[in-house]
Parts: sequence; structure tokens; C-alpha cells
Amino acid sequence: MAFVRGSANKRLVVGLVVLIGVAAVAGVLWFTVWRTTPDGAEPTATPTMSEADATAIERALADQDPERVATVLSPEAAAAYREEPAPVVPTGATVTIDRSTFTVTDERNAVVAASVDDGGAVSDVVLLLTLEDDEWRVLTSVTA
Amino acid sequence: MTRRLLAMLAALVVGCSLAVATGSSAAAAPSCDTQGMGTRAPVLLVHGFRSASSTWARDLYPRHEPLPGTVFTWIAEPFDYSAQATEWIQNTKSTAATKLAERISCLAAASRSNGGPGKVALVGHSMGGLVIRCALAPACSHRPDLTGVVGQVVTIGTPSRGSFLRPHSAVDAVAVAFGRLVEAVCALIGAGSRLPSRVQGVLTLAAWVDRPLCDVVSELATSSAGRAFTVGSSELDDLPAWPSGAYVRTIAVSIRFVYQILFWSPSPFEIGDAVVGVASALYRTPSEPAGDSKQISCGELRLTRLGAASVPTALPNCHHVSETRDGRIQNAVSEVIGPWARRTPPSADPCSDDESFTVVADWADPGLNDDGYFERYELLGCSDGYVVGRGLPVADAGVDYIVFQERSGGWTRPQLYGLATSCGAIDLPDEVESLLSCEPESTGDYTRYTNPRFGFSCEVPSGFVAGDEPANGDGLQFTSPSHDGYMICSGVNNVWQSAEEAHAEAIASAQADGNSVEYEDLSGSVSTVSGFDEDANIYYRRTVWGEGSTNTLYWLYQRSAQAVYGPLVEHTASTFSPGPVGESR
Repeated sequence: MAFVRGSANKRLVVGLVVLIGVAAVAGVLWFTVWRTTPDGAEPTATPTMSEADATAIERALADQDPERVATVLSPEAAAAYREEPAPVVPTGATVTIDRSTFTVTDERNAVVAASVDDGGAVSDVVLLLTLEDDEWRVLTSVTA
Repeated sequence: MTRRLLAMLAALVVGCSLAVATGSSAAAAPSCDTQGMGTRAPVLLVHGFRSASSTWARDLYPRHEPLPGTVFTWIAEPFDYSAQATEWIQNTKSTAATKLAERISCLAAASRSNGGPGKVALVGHSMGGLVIRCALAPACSHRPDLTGVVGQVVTIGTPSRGSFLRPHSAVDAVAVAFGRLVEAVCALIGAGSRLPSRVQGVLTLAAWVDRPLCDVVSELATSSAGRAFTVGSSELDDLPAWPSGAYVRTIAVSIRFVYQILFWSPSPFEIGDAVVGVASALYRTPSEPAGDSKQISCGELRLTRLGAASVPTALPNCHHVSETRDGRIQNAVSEVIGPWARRTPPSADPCSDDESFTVVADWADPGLNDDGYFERYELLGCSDGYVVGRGLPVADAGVDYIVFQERSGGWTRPQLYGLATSCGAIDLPDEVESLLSCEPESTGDYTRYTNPRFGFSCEVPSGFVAGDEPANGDGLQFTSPSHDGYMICSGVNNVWQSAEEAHAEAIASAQADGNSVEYEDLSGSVSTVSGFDEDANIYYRRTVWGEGSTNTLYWLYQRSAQAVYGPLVEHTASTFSPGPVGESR
């Protein structure tokens, strides 16, 4: 009987040691590898779209002045746009961005749903956005 | 027993040594396997940037069934340098051009000894065209001069002046925007399943950009070859030109991109094949040898547009990466390679005939793309070096082409560079010029006018007075002495995708101008529309559509003079020669 009880204690001790070991290794990994990005840098925050960003884009796209529109376009889009500048929505139309759909596709690109209301009809679109100097700019749009 | 065992062991050791020695010498010897080639004309297919020999669609390449009545046909062999396909050709790490030059020498020698043409044709896609250019220049390939063993050369989407996806200040803004858009769509493909349902529709954009294209775009920015494709790079400038004596056809794909932001959409923009622009793919230096160019229209790339049908137009199947799988492009390759590789037996020397001859090979006019146009020729002259003929008119097309062929060994070899619409239209060898009567053509009461820009020609009734030459050289108006009628012969670079579209436009345009349409007919690529204008004058429009240009004969005259003008219209229509409408001018 003593032999059997002794074996149970040994198993308990071995189990505890293994558990502690695993926890220690996991802790070390968390603070050295997992918590950082692959190149060893501290993880950066995922880019988001603030309400101010969205409002600025909404207002500029609805503006009838091409110069105002160009301020929220990506540099490439703005250069192309300035070759044949014109309003991008009908007069009086409003643009509304649904920030809940904002999705980053890689470190420089994102998409977000929007709608254009011209007073008679509402068109759902998706804006392709590109990050320029920490600001989201419009690259193009496509009907949702 | 022991002796026998020892002997067997010794034999085994010697045998193994021999096997090792044999293996070593085989590895050291240059490989020149030409099994299966026989007398067929060898064609090397050279893949492009970040690609491999598997890119060539097996159902399109090779085609090596002999045609009735011919000897020689072609057998295609993909050349693979995939391990170095992102390395710039002239970097020390790249041996692609050197190995290609060795393979060309090997195949040419084998072809010669087999009784074949003794030459090799080369087809290069994308960077493959540049690898070929390097291989043919001893200073670049570090191998002997290959002049004399190269037949035709075809390049497809080769970035001779770079790719507009490599940003450069001189590049058009919309092109740069398109390149940025491709990057953004490539990011979308990666994020597909993470997109919220409300924006899932944006994935339709990904229908026209596939992963191989995204991989190309990515490597353009990071590889030595990709960096060399920057417009205006020194690497491209330093690459040797094509050697003299080579016939080079350059093929470009043309896609029109419609950019948009919400309701704003500028004029469609030419984006080439989405990686290499048309001008870059067709680029030739003025000193480069004979050849031609072919531009293949792949339609319009239009993203979904507000207020329009929300169906995205997929990028046509002939974008840069998939060009080696497109049948239209393969046809453009075959137009050059096929005739070169197909030979009729030596008995077909046209100079033994007295009036006309059957064309030695059934090669097609690169412009008109119709094998039937050039089956027979009127013989104009023979010399020791050349036979010169004029293509006989076929059906309504009124083809009137001069062709000459180099005579060699008692039979002729067709030379595509010997194609002209009239005397003086292209530079002909002196010997050929001397066989031609290059006086202005006249057929009795008519004088033939040939437009130097588009190459079409029409017969003008005597006494008609030519108007002022327009600045763009697109044609002329000829007014009758009595001023009650005139004719116009003109051309325009194509804006229509098909003969059907051009014909429909001709009818719609006539009706929009208040004209009646009393007669309309479309036969092949020839559209005819006639009727009365608002003043009851009779108009007649004959238009010949081609992929590159559309050329037109137009008449307008008073109805009361029908008896006079009817025969003139009939004659000028039947003798109207549309020129090489397959190419833009």
C-alpha cells in the first residue's frame, strides 16, 4: 500500500512541475516573441477611421468645387482627377460613410461602405481608401 | 571459387568506375537534344518576367501539323529560365541570354543537318523579348554572332520602354493611378474573407486582377529586372538593338481603362495590357531592321459606375500575364511564324510561270488578317535575287498589294517585309524597285490616289480637282468639274470594335444627319450605306473596317446627275483599295 501511495504523490509532483514549466515557457514567449511583430518591433495599432476623417471625406466628396474634392483623393487619383476636374456627385447630393464597415486590407489600403443620396435615389458604394501621411484618401469607388 | 569471386569484384569496381566516368563526361558536354524536330522549323518560346515555360498554353503552342502541299512546318520548344526570371538580363547572376544563344545555335545546326531551314524563329513574351534581344547580340550574350541562323522574331507585350506600373514622373497621371489601383485590388484579394458583408461587392473588382498579376506587380518593385522596367531606365537604354537582318514583329495588347470616382469618370485611358503600355510594347528604334507591329484590342475595362448597370467588365483574357494563353495573340504569332515555317516544294518558282503565280506560302497580310487575300499574284518581274508580284484583287476588298520574295536555291522564300500598298509606300530594295514601274498609276479615265498615311487608294475620275490636304493627312476630297458632286477617300484610326459596330454607326450617323437609308449591306468587313440627304442629293458610303483603322470611300452628288455619277460610283467602289486596315496609323 505504501508503495502505491508513494507513486501517486510522485505523479502529482511531476504533474505540477510540468505545469509550472509550461506556464513559464509561455510567459517567456509572450514577452519576447508573441507580443512583438515578426521583425521584433512593438506591435502598432491597426489604422482606424475617425469620425473626423469620415466627415472630412463626406463633405469634400459632396462639394461642387473640384479643388475641394481633390483634397481627399489620393495623390495618384488627384493627379488624374485634375486632368478632367468636375464634381463627383450631383448638385445637392450628400455622401454618408458607414464607419462600421471600415476594413483595412493591408498596411496601406482599406475599404469602407458609403451611400450617395441625391434627393431622389440612394446609391450604395464602396470607397477604396489609401493611407497617405496618416490620413485616409479616396482612390476610387465601386458600386456595392 | 575464390578467384572467380575476386574477378567478379574487380569487374564490378571497373564497371562502377566506367559508369561514373561516363556520367561525368555526359554532364560536361553541352546538351543539344533535338529529338523529334526532324525537318520542322524550330521555334523557341521564351517566357517573361516571373514566369516559366509552362506559361505557353499547350493547346495553342505548338502547331506542327503540315499543310497540304507544303514541306516544313514548325515545332515549338519552350525555353525555360524561370530560376532567373526576376533577374535583370545583363546582371552577372543571369545566364538566360547566354543559354538561349547556345540553344539557338544548337537547334539551327541540327535543323541544317536534318535538311530543315537551318534557322530558328523566336517568340518572346514580356521580358522574354528582351532576353532574345540580348541573346542575338554577341556583346550581351557573350556568345558568337547568330546572324544567319535566326528566322522570324515575335515579341508579345515586351517592355522595351518599361512598364507604367513602375512610377516615373513622365508617365501619365491616369496610368499611375491605375497602377496604384491594381495594388489596392491586390490587397483586397488578400483580405477577401475579412470584408464585412456590406462591402463584399467590392470583390467584383478582383475579377479583373488575379493573383499571378498581383505577384508580378509585387516583384516589379523588389527585383532587379523589375527595377530595370522603370520608364527611361539606363538598363533598357543599354540593351543592344535588334540585329540587322532579323524580321521582328512586335505585338501589343490594348485595353482602355475607364477610371471613376463616384459619378466622375474621365475619358477612357489606354493602359496597354495592364502592365506594359502599347507604345512600349511596339517600340522600335529608327535604325532597327525590317518588321511590323500588331496591336490587339482587348476592349474596355470599366469599373461599376453609379447610374449604370452594376456589372463590372472583367479585364479581358489578354492582360499581360495571360497573353500566352490568348488565341488572338497566338494567331498574330502564327501569321509570322507559320508562313516562314511552311514551304512549298522547289517546283513552285513563280518565275517559270508567265502571268501569275501561286504564293509560295499562304501567309496572310498582317494588316488584313485574311489568308485568302494573298493566294495569287500577278507577276511583275524576276531577277536573280527577287520575284516581284502584285496581289490580285479579291472580292470587294480591291486588294492591290505589291509583294516580293527572295529567290533562293531555285525556289522562293516569302519575305513579309516586302509588302507595300504602292510604289514608294515603303522602302524596297533597289533591285525590287528596278523591277517595278513606279510611275503614277492610271487606268484610262481615272488616276489612282494613294494616301500615304493609311495606305488606302482610290481611283479618281479625270478632271476631278483635289481639295486641300488636311493637316492630319487622313484623306482628300475630289470635286467634279461641274461642281455637282464630289468624292472623299479618307481613313480614321479605329474607334469601333467590329465591322458590325462600324456598320451600325454608319447607319446611325446617316440618320442622325437627317439622311434616309435606302440601301445598307455588310459583307465581311465591307459596309455599304446609301440613300438621300435632306436636299435629296444621293450619298454613298463604302467603309472597310479593320482592327487598326477604317477607311472610307464617300460620294455625294445631285440626284438629277445619277446617269453621270452612277457609273463613276460603281467604278470607284469596285477599285477602292482599303490598305492595311489591321494597323493604326
